[in-house]
Amino acid sequence: MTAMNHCYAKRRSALADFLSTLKRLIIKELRVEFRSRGMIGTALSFTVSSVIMAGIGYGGFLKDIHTAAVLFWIIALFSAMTPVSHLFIREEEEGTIGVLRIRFRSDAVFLSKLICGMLFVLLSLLVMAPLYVAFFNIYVADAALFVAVILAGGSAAACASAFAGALASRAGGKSALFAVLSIPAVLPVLIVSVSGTIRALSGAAGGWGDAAFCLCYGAVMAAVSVWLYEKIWMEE
Amino acid sequence: MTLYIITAVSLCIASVLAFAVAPPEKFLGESSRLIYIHVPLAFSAVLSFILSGVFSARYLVSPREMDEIHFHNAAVLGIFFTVLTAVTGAAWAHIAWGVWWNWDPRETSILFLLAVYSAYFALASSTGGRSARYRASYLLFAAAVMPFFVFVAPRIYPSLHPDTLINAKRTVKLIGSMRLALFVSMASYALLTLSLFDFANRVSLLERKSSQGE
Amino acid sequence: MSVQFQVENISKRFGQKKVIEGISFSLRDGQTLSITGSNGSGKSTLLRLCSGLLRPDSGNTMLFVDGDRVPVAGGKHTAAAAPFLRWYSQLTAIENIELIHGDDPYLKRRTIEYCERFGLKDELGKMLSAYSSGMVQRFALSAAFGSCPSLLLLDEPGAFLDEEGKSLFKEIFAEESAQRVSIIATNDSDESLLCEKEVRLG
Repeated sequence: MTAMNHCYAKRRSALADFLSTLKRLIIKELRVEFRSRGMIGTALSFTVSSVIMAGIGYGGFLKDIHTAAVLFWIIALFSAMTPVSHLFIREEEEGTIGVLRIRFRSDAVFLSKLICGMLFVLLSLLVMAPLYVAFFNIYVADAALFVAVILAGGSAAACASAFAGALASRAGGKSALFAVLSIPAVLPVLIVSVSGTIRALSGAAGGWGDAAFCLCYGAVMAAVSVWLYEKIWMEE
Repeated sequence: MTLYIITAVSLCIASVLAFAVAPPEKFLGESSRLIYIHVPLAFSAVLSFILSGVFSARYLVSPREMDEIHFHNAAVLGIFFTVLTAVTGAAWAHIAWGVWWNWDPRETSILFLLAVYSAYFALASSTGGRSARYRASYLLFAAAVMPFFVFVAPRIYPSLHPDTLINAKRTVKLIGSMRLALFVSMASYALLTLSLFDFANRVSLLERKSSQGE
Repeated sequence: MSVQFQVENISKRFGQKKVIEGISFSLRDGQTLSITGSNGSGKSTLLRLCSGLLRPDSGNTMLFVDGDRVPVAGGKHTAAAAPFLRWYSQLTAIENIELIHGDDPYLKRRTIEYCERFGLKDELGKMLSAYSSGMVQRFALSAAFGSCPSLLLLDEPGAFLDEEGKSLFKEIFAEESAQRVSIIATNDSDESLLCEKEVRLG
């Protein structure tokens, strides 16, 4: 009796199957990353050391809101892009992508990596933001908006850079190529997040629109990336 | 061949209109004639980008060697026109406003295109021969990002870019002869783009045939 | 339950070198095929083309289960034990099994039973990074047989196995091959003798 025969006995909906697959893939990602510890440690130490270096270099109160927002997002975006690319690159480097290709659909694999990547990104941003505010003695006028922009901008950056990570891993160019590929996609996030952060720090209106834009942009990028990932799924 | 002849003729007509017939603008003087070069170059850059997106989509849906040649050559033309647009724009900005670059939405969009093409060629050199799918998918990915610049634009610094052509009232704020010169220039540059595209495709096809014949 | 696997005029070139050229064959359930040839003749490449993981330059691979065409890769129809299929060394054997069969208790149990048969009963809770290469190969074979696939692909199945492992493999292969299409790529003449058909490369 083959698996097909056996599967006929079950009447599960396609959606339930997909969600179960997604759950198992996410659990696998979390287990592998926490046990190898490479990526989390590197991402967090990069974030923290960047903030420390900037703080030492500046050495005081950062009163110019515009500079504060831009500096924050430069560091935040590079921190955000690292985990996502790492998830794809590690799979190719260790050769485990074969198991995924033979057993799972491309959209399930991509979404699982995207979701895990977003979780790591948000984690590192939530560590970074309080450090940043403390080191630069920044006054945040609208704290709720500040958090919302960070979460929305971080997820948008993760969604925008996921496909670049997948491409870089397939192309063998790894991290350097990934940075170059992801910059055009991440540009809109940078511009809008800086704008939203300025409004959050100064208390000006309109910042929630910036956060909403980031969420929509992230969603569209994720959808486009899922479709494109299937096109590069097979080896050439 | 007819395409090349028509292109050459239209470029001649456009040059005559731009440099001899149309009058210089009131405030900018003779430097205003850069509009007949800079704007058509920008138009060509966007046209090349659209061509590369269309042929990439065709390639991904149904892979054909001709589509691969097409989108790659469109990307080559695209980076050529984008660099020229940025350079002529910067030169004109310095003459007219005293600054080389002022980060308005149009300038930022051109930089975005430049970033896309740089990434595309980095990917191409990294992957070599079998990379057609990867390159096509990247161009489509970049094409998906492009529309968002329309929505991002209001959040960038207010523009020094004159709203002569693209403005809320949807009118063209140019007098008759200048308007004619500009549109003829844009049309002739579009023909130039298509001619160069056609020529590059023929060369690429010949190169492939000769390398496969070896 | 009928299975049919067809390869039509498949070719693959890497750069200027033609590795596979115009290969065709057709297999029904119960049939077994060995791919033989010298080193570098393209045995693994042909197996990867059959698995649906590598895109051919021309030609087609088609898998039919009960008359319906199904995708070769991306579902439960194909399983392989090959160097291009590496398992997660940061996960235990059980966790690797749960990854691929977590939604199917029958296949999960079947795979665990094969692991036990291959002598890995006490190692199931250990990470694959702690396994020797022979144990990893035993695990890979258990996962392949345990998945109950319509198409089974094996690349050098006897690699890293001791004599006991090799004879156990042959025994299990003889039991399992009746229900599916099986392809073995190998340098070992004993392994190629297990199959009724042969494609010779190089």
